[in-house]
Amino acid sequence: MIAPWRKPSDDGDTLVRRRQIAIARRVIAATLLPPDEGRPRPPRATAWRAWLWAAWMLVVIGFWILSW
Amino acid sequence: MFATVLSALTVATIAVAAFGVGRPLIRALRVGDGDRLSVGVWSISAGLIAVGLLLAVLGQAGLLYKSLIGVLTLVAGFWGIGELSRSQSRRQVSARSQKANALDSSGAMFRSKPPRWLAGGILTLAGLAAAGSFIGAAAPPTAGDALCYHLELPKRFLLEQALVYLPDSDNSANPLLVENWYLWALALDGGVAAQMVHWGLGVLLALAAVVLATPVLGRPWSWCVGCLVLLVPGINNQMTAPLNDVALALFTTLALAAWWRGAIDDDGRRWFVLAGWMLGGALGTKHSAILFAIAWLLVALASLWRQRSYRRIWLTGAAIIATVALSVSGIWYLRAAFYTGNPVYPFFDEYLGARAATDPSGLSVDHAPPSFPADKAPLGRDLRALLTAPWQVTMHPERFGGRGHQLGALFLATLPGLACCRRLRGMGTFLSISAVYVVGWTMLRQNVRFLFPLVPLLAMPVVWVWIEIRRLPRVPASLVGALTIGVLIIHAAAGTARARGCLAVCLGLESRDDYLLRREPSYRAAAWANALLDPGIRILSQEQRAFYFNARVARENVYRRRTGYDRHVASAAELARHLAGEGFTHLLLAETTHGSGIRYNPTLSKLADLEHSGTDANPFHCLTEYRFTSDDGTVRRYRLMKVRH
Repeated sequence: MIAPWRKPSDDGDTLVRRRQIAIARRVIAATLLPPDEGRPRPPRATAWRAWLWAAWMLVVIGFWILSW
Repeated sequence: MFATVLSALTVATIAVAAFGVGRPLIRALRVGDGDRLSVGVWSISAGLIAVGLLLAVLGQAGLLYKSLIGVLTLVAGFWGIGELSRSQSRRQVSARSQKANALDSSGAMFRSKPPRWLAGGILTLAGLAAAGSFIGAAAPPTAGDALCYHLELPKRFLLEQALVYLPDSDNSANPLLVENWYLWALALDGGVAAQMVHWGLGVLLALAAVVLATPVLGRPWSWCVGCLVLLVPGINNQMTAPLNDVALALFTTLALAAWWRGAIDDDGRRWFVLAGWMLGGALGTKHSAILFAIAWLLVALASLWRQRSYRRIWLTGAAIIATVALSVSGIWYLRAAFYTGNPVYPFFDEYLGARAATDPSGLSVDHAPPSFPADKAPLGRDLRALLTAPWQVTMHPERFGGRGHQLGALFLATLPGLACCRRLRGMGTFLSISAVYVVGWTMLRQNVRFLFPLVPLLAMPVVWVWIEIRRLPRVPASLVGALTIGVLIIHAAAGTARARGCLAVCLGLESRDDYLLRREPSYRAAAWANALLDPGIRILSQEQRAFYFNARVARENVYRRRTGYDRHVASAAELARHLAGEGFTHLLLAETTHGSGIRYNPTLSKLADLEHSGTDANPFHCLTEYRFTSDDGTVRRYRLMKVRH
């Protein structure tokens, strides 16, 4: 028996179901795959820059507290 | 307590009514669908602008009746409830599509969310700061600028039932969109409700920052941007007072967010209409929106130079934005041009307006102060000032309008950390707009409040730096993290501590009258005059805080500048005759007798105290006299005098 040809339905329920399926796919993918799977880890910042910035923060916040 | 609840309900009614007006506009533009936060923020903001315009039109037509405003509020409020219930029925679908959109739009880089402790911690701190500022907003208004004009003008407009021009108020020709919302709150409740409106605008600004940051950082991290905005000490402090800088920041943020969707994300030209509507709101709020628009335009033009493929759509967008913005805000600039000859009065009055006024006798009188006096630029206006401005503004905000309006240490401390971060699409645009704006700010008026439009723009790079901290070596990363948490806790604690003095009046343990007698220097004279004098009297006052007087109050300094009256009188009797001829019935004299706080120009006091001849009765009769000691130790002496004639 050949099934009658049927146009995809645009009614609200079908749209809701499609969105539910899309969300379910994402949830399953996010559960099964680690988030960084297949992607290179971002390069680390250079140490001297990081230390310089941390020292700057210390100075600024120190002066700011003293200025109160 | 009941009064506080009533004021809060009034503000909630205003918010629902604004939503009712704005939601159909947003639906017609087909923007923000599928995201309840965006729909709410866009609708309330667009609705507030529409209502402000309607009130301006009613004011120009002389129809500012409290009853009419009440009826219109009810209609818009019920419409808003209908819109909310309509949204509720779609909630399920929207919530799911919102999740899907958030995943789609935030990009692969931001699939990770902020750690739970960070999200929970910053939300808690922002909540504490917002709660503290709400308690502050629930106390009767005592902020100087608010009592001088942000609330005084709407009170006068309501009394006159029209948007009148007041020659003895420098600010009555300003853009007054926000003041029209205060007028709305005053018509429905009073000064506390007006103050709470500005608190609500602060919350709306935080949510607008979330909307702006979402396409760049993704929704989960954007919540950190919104919380950070609430934790900025100046923003949090100003949410306790009915001023207009937070409102300006709200509209510049939303204008930029809409432009981003239209120009960068290429989501359709309808976003340009919305950007124009919001920019119109900003231009209708404060003149410094012009500076923001220029900075934005320059950066957009510079970007176009590099990306020529965008040229057509961006130029179309600029034309749409300019047309809509001028249509929305034009009423205020036309009004200023009509009354003063200068659309941006009092700025550039040397070139645009009738600077040297003449009194009725034809004598030339004092010139108004220059638009950009040297004392408004404590750093000077050169390259050195520009380079040192970030440090000076952070460490010495008292030189730039007050420590209460400070931006805090986090921006200066964190933004150099961008040198350790990867480049992120969008950050360059926001930082460039900020840089150009700061150049203009340095050259014009160096007030830290005028930097508020940059807070959401700078909060985004700060959060981007937080995201990138994980790429730092462990020890400096831990140090940076600990310092950041410490500063955020200080910001939240400052916001919460500010509420201490207002908690009793907020909870109803202290009456609003008692609170004002304790905190507001002009209130005793106002209460005395309101209780014992006819509301039809006219007062010439050295004290500019006139909101609590039922009578008409003219500012002495502006009146003196306009008429030069002090040049024509040589005795107290002549002064009394002159003032009586001008319709003044009373004087409010104010002097600082001790301390280094506010200073009043002594011209009127000296003239009124001139010796009169022994045969004549004293032309001024002192009705009441008292001294008020401020928190900073300054002692002021007030005298309410009747003019005998």
